[in-house]
Amino acid sequence: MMPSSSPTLSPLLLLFLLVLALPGFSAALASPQSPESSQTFVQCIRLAEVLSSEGVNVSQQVELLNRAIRYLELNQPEEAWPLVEEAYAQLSEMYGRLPSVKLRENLERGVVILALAAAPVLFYYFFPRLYAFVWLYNRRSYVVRQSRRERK
Amino acid sequence: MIIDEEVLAVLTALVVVGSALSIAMLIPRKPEPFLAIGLLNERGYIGDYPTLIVAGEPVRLHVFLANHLGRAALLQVRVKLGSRGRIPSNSTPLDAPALQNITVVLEDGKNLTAPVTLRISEPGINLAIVFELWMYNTTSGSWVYTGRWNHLYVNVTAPGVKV
Repeated sequence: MMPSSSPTLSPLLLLFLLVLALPGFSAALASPQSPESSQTFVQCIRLAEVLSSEGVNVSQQVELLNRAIRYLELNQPEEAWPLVEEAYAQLSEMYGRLPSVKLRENLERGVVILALAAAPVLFYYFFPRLYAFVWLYNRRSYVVRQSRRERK
Repeated sequence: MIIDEEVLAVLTALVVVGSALSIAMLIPRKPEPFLAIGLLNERGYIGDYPTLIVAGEPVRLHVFLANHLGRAALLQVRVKLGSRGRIPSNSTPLDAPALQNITVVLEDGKNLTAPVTLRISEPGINLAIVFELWMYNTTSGSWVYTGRWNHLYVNVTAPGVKV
């Protein structure tokens, strides 16, 4: 008589296959020990290069990637790949916001440059008037009297 | 007029110079990009490097890396063993297997001092411990030798041999 294990095994097998199908788990099983063999990692580096060349601060994401590299060196891919995924999610979001961030930065810089360029003209026009106003304001309590000495 | 014309002209000239300097500092510039690698001793300083080591015993050094490429980069230091006259050049890496790799993502303008512990198994005279700097090229998907390297000449004695 055959053992009746096959009906109970099939749900377990199904569960195992489902777990295998999870992207993080399958990535961990594949466990490429060199980080650059992961497409996600390479994408992270590419995004970090682009973002940092545009002046975006990617310190946190670089820290995540370096921690992932350390875990891979310790042969702990199950710890490394979630960090890479997290860095990728953050970098992708930052890359999506890059055009609007760049536009705002350029506008801000343009406004500051215009203000600085206008400063000498404004200074030349307003400073004598402001100085005269302050000069008069400080002497507002002065009383003008006729001098006893007569003009020659 | 309360302010003398000449005084106003001098003050305006000072404002013009200050304004021009501020604008020049605000405009983003692209400086000459470069990578740097340096070799430091066990305590992390320049000099006082080991010259005589025992085969199998650990050799402790530090590698200094600096990124001024204007962007973050994935860098790798490959530690290799060469000999006198058999070291890398600015264009060609040493044709030898890497004993050890140090991989790191380094931001623009940042530097890193990483400890390195090596064990050289075979005795030899005038051996060169070579530290090559490689960079990952995301376009081609491969590591590229940067042409930057350091080396340290050592004599390696067999264990138990008195010098």
